[in-house]
Amino acid sequence: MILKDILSQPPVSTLIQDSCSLKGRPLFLSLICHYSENGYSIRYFKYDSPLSSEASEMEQLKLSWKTCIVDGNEDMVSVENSWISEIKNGNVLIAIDSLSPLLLNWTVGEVASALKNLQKTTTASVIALVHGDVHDKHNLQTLNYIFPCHLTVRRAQGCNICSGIWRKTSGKITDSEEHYSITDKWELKDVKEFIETQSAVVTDSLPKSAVPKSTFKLGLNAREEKARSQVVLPYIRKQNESSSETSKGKIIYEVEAPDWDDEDPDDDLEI
Amino acid sequence: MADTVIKALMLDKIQMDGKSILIIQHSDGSPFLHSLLTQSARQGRKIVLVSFSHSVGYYHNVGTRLGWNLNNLLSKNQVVFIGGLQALKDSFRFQNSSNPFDFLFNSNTCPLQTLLFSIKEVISNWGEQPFSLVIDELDCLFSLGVKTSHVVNFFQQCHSLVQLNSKGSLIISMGVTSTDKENIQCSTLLSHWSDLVLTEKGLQTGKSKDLTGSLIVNWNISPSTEQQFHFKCYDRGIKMFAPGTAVL
Repeated sequence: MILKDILSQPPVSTLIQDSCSLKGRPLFLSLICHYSENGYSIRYFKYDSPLSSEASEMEQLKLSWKTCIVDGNEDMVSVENSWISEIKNGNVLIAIDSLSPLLLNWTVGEVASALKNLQKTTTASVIALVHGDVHDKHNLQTLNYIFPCHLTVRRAQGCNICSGIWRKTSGKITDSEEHYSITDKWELKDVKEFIETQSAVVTDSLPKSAVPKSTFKLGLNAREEKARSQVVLPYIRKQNESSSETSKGKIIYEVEAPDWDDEDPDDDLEI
Repeated sequence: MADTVIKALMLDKIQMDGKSILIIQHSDGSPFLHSLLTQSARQGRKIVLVSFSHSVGYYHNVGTRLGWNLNNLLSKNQVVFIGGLQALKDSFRFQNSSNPFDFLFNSNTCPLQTLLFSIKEVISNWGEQPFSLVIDELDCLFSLGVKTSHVVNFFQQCHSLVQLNSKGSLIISMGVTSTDKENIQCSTLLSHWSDLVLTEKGLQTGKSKDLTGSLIVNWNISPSTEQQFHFKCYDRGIKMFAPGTAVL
């Protein structure tokens, strides 16, 4: 169970992918809150345009933040430097909310390269949010290679579901699907394995009665069924009379009296 | 009838100061933008109306049918209209750097900067008064050669303008077509950043005499909710219905 595992260990570089149907920000903030309470220093970079409710949320979390509006005049190196400059000592967690504006201004290669450099040159872990419905699969796949832990949030069967893949340093890859909920104090709770219940599969079988449902009485009762079974069809009677052997596809033709007309068809013409 | 829209969206109970509304239109023309404009006018808010494809006469004519007079409010400086059509025409004749649409003749690293400065100047002149910044058909900027990153940047700047002034609200409409990837990418990203998202679509089965289309309302502020309505457009407004109740 990846969510439970990452909470019980030091922070791992994690990418949280969300969509309009379920926002990943609550999970993102709850992970940050958890690491902050465990003594990690959080450096929060806000590239998304904040919702009106986010100011009060950040006050509640006691996180200082400043909205950074990404400008195409900058280059990715200056953004990378702004991340590195915040790391002055150990136990620092870089929180990026979100990568989507960066991916619009620079290529995924440049963004991935900056993130990789950050992880190589410093001991800081990175938790980043990305809006999966904004970018194409190629860009998201590239980001997956940079982050060892990838969480995708979605809504299913009325629950918040987190599908996680974690590539550990030992080489082992674990994946899981868990449902979770977040309290008002940004704590993760009710983290349990999610088993998708499939709707009952109806085997494709012939119906017992081929009579369609209708307000008219189309079916037969037992007496009528019996009477119908006793009806002898006329052609069956004829076949049985004509040959005693069982015939297969034989055509029985009875020559009828010729129907010649002796009259001259041109008789009425006055030639 | 503008009141029925406001009541259905609960905007008579929820204050939109400091918040943003995004209207995503899958069909032509947004009747909901005019309802929100009517509400802002009736509340006595200052309005900055930015339009790239309609003249001031168009908004005046629609506003008259909904019960407010745009020309009157323009003369009182309650409404400031920044119109793309006239400015575009002038920009080719007088290549003035103060023209909000200077990016058409002047290749700029920040194409919408002058337009943003024009909006900021108008808002700063109003001081602390409540205002609504209304931008109609933001997708027209793509047709004018502006990149997605610059449009997104422009939205962020407008959003921060509104949030700095706690009495401002931002209302943006965007037309979306299923084949335009740039448009869809931009509208999806702005949906993540807007407090209220109204997605307006025609009926899947075609045209109907009882209904014009369906509206999906998404509130991104807690508690996040999604609701669906059907609506019918009339000359003097819109009627909203719960799905399936239009003919009752």
